[in-house]
Amino acid sequence: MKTLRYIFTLAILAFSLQFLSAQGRFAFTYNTALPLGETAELAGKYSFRGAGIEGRWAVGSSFDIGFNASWNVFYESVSGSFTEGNSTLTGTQYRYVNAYPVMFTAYKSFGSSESFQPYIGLGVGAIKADHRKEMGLWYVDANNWHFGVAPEIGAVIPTWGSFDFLISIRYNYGAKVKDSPSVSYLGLNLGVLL
Amino acid sequence: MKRIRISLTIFLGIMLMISGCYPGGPEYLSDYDLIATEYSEEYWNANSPSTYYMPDSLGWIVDREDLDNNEDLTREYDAFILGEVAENMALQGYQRIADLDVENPPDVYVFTQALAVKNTTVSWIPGYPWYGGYYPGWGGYYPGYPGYGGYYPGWGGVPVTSSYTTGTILIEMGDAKNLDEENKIINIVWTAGVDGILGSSKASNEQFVSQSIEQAFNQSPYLKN
Repeated sequence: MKTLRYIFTLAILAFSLQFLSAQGRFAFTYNTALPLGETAELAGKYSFRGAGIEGRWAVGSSFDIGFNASWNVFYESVSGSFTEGNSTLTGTQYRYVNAYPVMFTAYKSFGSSESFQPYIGLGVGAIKADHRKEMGLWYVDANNWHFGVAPEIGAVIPTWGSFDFLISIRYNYGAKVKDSPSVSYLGLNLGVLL
Repeated sequence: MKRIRISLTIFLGIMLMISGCYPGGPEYLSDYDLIATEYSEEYWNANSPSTYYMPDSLGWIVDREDLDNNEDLTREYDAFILGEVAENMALQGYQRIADLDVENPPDVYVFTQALAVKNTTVSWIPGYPWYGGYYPGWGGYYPGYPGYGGYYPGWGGVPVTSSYTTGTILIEMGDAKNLDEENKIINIVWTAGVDGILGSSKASNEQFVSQSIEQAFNQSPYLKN
């Protein structure tokens, strides 16, 4: 249900902005990601579950500013005994990290917009992350906003239609906060730019 | 408008695709099995107990303030559970004392109980006493626990943060040599919680109980004599 709320919010945001500015370009992406650092320690499997939206506005011949909002979920189940201090738990742990980065972005493009156009970018903003461990009939959960940065490289690939393809590799990092570990993953995003 | 329609189609398509493959969780009853143990490092560094007393009946923890919050659980596994605990204590090298002599107590008491409270999460907070009136909102109820002279299992500095539900089996070991006379508390030096969802087959339930209790002892090597 929570995921549906996020999706609904992202959809409203995307289409509101599209109505507001005919000059902007919007991308919808399928996001996969490789967990790194503390995220990989909790749920180390590659994530094929993710999506994102991006908005871009030109502020110069090769500069864009905009935003991106995305979601990836990392998951891993681990069976065995887990000892911490004087306590030991035996069973199957189900571990989830749901990450929702929301970033303001800036892009620098290279080459002509008529051809394959690589770009570099940087996002600064926040990552909402829900770290959850389930075991037996109970769970521990840490759900916090993290300060986030997201450097990115990518390319816009023109098509003959009314949209372009977009491919990007984005490293998302959310700093450790309160009882939540840091968020770290390298995303491979494929989508269309309208 | 055409761009918006395309956008909406693509966006919803991606979302439907992804929502269909959200990662799963437990699929079978056994996936919910959980065996938790906790011990007092201070006690086990300084003591090597070898004798114990365990009542012949299983204790039930109930909600005395809200009787509707209790399940009327079957007692058909009581004897089996106690037998499994006794067997594992013997395998660890402990000698059971049949008759309790308060003047000459064994090294430890072993309490085996089950939660009869439904829809309840119990959080054991470090340093928090939790029985016999020290358990807020619950109270401790020990039918068939003779010979304790008003003592209740209490908190021995074993920090546990966990949650249990109806049917959870708790095995606790209390230090019989160092009772808190003033507060009538027995300090708990080892505790185990066996948690799972029972099925409809008695044989499989007994297998779960047997394996879980054995695992609780196996993952506590400091108990071995």
